[in-house]
Amino acid sequence: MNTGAIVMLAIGAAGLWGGLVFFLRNYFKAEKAEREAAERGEASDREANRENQS
Amino acid sequence: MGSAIGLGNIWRYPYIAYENGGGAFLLPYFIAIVTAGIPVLILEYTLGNRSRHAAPFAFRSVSRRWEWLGWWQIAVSFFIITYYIVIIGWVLSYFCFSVGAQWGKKTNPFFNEYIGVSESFWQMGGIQWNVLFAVAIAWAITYAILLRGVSKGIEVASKILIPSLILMILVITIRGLTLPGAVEGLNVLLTPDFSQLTNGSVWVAAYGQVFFSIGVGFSIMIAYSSYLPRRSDLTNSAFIVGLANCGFEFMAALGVFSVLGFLAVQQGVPVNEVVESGIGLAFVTFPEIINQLPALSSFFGIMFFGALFFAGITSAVSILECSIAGVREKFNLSRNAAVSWVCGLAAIVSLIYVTEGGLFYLDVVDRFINNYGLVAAALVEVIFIAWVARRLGLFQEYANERSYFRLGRWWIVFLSIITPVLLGAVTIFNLYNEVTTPYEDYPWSGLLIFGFGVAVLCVAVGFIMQSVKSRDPESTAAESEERSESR
Repeated sequence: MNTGAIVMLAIGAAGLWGGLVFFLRNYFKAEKAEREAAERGEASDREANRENQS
Repeated sequence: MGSAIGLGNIWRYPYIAYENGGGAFLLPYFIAIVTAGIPVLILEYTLGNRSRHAAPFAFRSVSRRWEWLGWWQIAVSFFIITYYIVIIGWVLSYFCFSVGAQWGKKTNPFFNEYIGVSESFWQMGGIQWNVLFAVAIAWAITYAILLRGVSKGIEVASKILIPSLILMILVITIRGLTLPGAVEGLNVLLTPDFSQLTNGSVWVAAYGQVFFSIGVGFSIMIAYSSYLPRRSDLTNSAFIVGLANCGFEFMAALGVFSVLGFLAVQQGVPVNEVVESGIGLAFVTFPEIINQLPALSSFFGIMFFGALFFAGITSAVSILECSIAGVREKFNLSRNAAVSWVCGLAAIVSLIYVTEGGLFYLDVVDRFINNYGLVAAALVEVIFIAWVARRLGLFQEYANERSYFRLGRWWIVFLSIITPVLLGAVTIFNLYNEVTTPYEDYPWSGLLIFGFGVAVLCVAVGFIMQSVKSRDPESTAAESEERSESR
């Protein structure tokens, strides 16, 4: 393959597939943060319930 | 993603990139993705998610007088599905023909004989029963998916078909890259010709490709986003869908050009002489490539036509869903009734493409509905939201409230200035070409009826539907609200 084609292949791959990986990471990070926040909330509720019962 | 990734990604993008500067095309293409494709996608996501309605009622929620715009987009989608499903029928037949390469050595005459193409435009001829049978199966599969509903039908089908499609294209690309001549093909696709960047038509092609490919202006994304939970991260989702779609077509282009390089080497001709796009690429050139493969040719054929079939079905389902959602809301119909009405009506119209003259009508409707229906509807949509209703600030706020990646002022600038100017340029450029050179030398009468006629009819349908009184819109709105709260 000639150099110009290799460079454009690298640019295309980095721009499109790299960009996709970046936004997928954002998506999974946000999902994880949301899940953790929900778990923290549930744990806090459980603790409050225990304290109320005792 | 299922909606965005369609047949055009596999058979349109590679040719457009090759024809418009090869590797250098990536520059206008990237700019088009960032300045138009993804911003409009975010706009449609926000409009649908905020209003909780399909396109007509979503536009109506912005301004009561603009419901017609949603119906116009639905009419465009409706006419697209009437021929798109016929192509899926052909793909289904070729999927079966792949076993043992039943098309023989002369692939072009085989295709013409299969669809029974007539000699002239107005020679409609009779129904091609073998094609009708395949189209009926394609309709039955699509109907069955739609009847199962959004989560059990469309969502489940997409979860199975899209990963399978990506895997199939990956297999084709890897196989293509290992064939002799692949490098020649890739050189033709990727070697940059930067002098082309000063050519306005290259930029027009880049914006046109991004628009057709991502699937904005169809009203699909508005309907789909109305089904998303209110807290969905719209901006990030739009970037994921836009980049996955464009990344997929880039990968498909590598596969297509590596096998075209192989074909050129086998025939001892330059790659430029075997490059094709669209129907010619899929049903004439690819079978020729499959004939020449040293081993596992049937497997390769099944992979290629299987990938086209999966890409087609997921897009067909989404194209129909926007009409179904709109009709349901307008006439307060049950899902089953709306699916049956829309699919039934579209199936009747699709019969025209199953005749001997069908290929001509399909070609003209596809050309005009894409170049004028789709692009013009997207242009009016952007102008309406940005300049008439002036809601971009409000939509930006709505998207930012629920998104990890915040939209800045750039989003408003792109949508209010860059996108309308470039979409306007695309429309004017296409119209100029259309008037100066009759498309494919078809008779003007045919172009006026199937081309301009259908494009204008879509706008008329918009106004007619707006004037029809909604059946119990309150309950439809309440149902929509209930749906959003249950998420």
